[in-house]
Amino acid sequence: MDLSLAIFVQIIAAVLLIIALMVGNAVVMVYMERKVAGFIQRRPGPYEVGPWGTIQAICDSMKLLAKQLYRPGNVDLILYYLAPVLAFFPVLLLFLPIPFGPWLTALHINEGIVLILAFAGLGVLSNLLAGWASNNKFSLLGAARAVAQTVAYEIPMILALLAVVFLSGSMDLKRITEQQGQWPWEWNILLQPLAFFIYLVSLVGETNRAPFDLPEAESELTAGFHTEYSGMGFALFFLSEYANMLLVSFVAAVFFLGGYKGPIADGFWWLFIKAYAVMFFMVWIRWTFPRVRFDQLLNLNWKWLLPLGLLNLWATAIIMKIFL
Amino acid sequence: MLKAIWDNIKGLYSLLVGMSITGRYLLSPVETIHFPRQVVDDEIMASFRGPIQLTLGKKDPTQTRCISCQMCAKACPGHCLTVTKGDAKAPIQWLYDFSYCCLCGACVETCPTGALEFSHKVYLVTVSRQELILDLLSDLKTRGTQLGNQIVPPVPPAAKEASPSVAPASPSAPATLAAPTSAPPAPETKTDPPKAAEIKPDAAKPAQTKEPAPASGSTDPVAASPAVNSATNNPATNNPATNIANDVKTGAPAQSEPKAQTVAPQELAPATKPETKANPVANKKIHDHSSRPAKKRGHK
Repeated sequence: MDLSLAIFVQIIAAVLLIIALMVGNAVVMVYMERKVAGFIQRRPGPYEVGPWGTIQAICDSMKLLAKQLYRPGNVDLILYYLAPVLAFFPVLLLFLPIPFGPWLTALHINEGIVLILAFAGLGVLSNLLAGWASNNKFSLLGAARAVAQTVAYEIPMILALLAVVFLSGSMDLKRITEQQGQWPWEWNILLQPLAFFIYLVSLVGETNRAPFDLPEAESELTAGFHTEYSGMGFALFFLSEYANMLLVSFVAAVFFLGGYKGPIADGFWWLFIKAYAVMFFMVWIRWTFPRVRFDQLLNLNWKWLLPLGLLNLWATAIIMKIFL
Repeated sequence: MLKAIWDNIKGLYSLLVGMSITGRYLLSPVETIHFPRQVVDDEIMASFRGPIQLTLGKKDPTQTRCISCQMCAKACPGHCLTVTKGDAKAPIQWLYDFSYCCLCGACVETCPTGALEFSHKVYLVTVSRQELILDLLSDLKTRGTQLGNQIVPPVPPAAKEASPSVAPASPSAPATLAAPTSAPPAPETKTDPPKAAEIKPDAAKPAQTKEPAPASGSTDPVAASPAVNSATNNPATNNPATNIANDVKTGAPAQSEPKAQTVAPQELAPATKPETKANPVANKKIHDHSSRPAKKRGHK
């Protein structure tokens, strides 16, 4: 890959678009989350601000921007301010190899999924730094939980994705998309249902969302690793959390649900529809299931998802070897 | 081993059941009622336990069943009830400080005659604590009168503008009802209390003899005219908030007036005695009452 000027400009434009996408996604997701939570509990959710409360999320983010950035005493200054930045910026990189359409990829590389999985690990580093630098026992406990959980759930996630990589013989997200057809029965979810299930469970664990939201369990740790962050510090964590959700949903859509391919006309709209369907699923289970205990969380991972993932990978390899 | 696997698969099924339940709720209609634009139905309100009120009398709806036994005042954990006994058993003043009430219902349960009940008033709004001191006798009067208006057909020729059931049967009736005819916040003008004092002794008689209020013409010509006016001033509007606001307004000045001319009744709690002899200025009275619970606790 030669770094010509054209590619440079392309990446800059893509990063700007990705920032816009992250912010817009956070606004949409906050609205969707509150609305779905409301309807599940048979109340209307945000209602008063704007038609059907649509402006509520924007008002909230304005308020967040205007808030004081309060720093408690005895924090580790450098790490305290580095952590939210470190949470935000790797996520920008993660969106680069996602193929949004046949000709709409910011950075087309052969090993896109390796890039995503490698830099997704940086998110947990920022959680750890935030918890450590805050000089607060709740934050530290949340950070410790975040590390243990995210490291554990990365493994079945990779195993599930690896099964699809075996199937298509490529780590290139665009090629994986191209090998699936337009119609739902041509998607990888039918070939790899178990891998899809494992990925679905582990992406909830990976993004620290309920029922696996132990790093920020409100009832136990106030807010976990971002307890001491206010204003934009909190907003950056918040943005990166929702951006991570969007990212794992994109990956799920690309690997299992046909990516940008869909009935009638291919295009980025199909990718967004599928990704937001996965996000809706995540919101749905958040408001359905209670939070698990930490030992249950790790038991589920090590005793079920990991063996199942290995079994699935093994079976995939054998079948690929014998029949293809 | 196999059993553990089977248990986990069954657990997965239970997750699906949970998701189907929340999914069903997601699609079912919203239960919330947006208050200023929508109001809860009256049938639902019937189960709401709002501030207490006196039950309507059996024969005469404007007559209370209260016998001034003070059981409720003693049972009340917040000391928010002040029942003043008159010459007869019937109370001449029934004050209820809602700002101290915890809605526990001890008064309703202890009342031997069933004179107390929970109201269904949800929309009680005041701008000051003093307005939360409710005069339940005048409230009873208003409600009883409205009920009478609904039931009894008009109109005896004697009192034209009046609905006939506005008979001033109990002592505080003329006083409470007369109050709003003057400018509402004018208890200090000293012109009102004498008027009420004139009316009072006349009206007290029927109450003592327990004469039920006749459905037609009034026995008391003096009291009739003010009562008539105020009855028309209290229309039975559908908006409960304004109803209560009316009650509160009529109640506040009225509190002073029965007291103004009453001789100190025989059986009173020691703390209430000085108040019954106090002057008729309404505001001062109310201050006394809001400080009352502290006094009572002091006695204990």
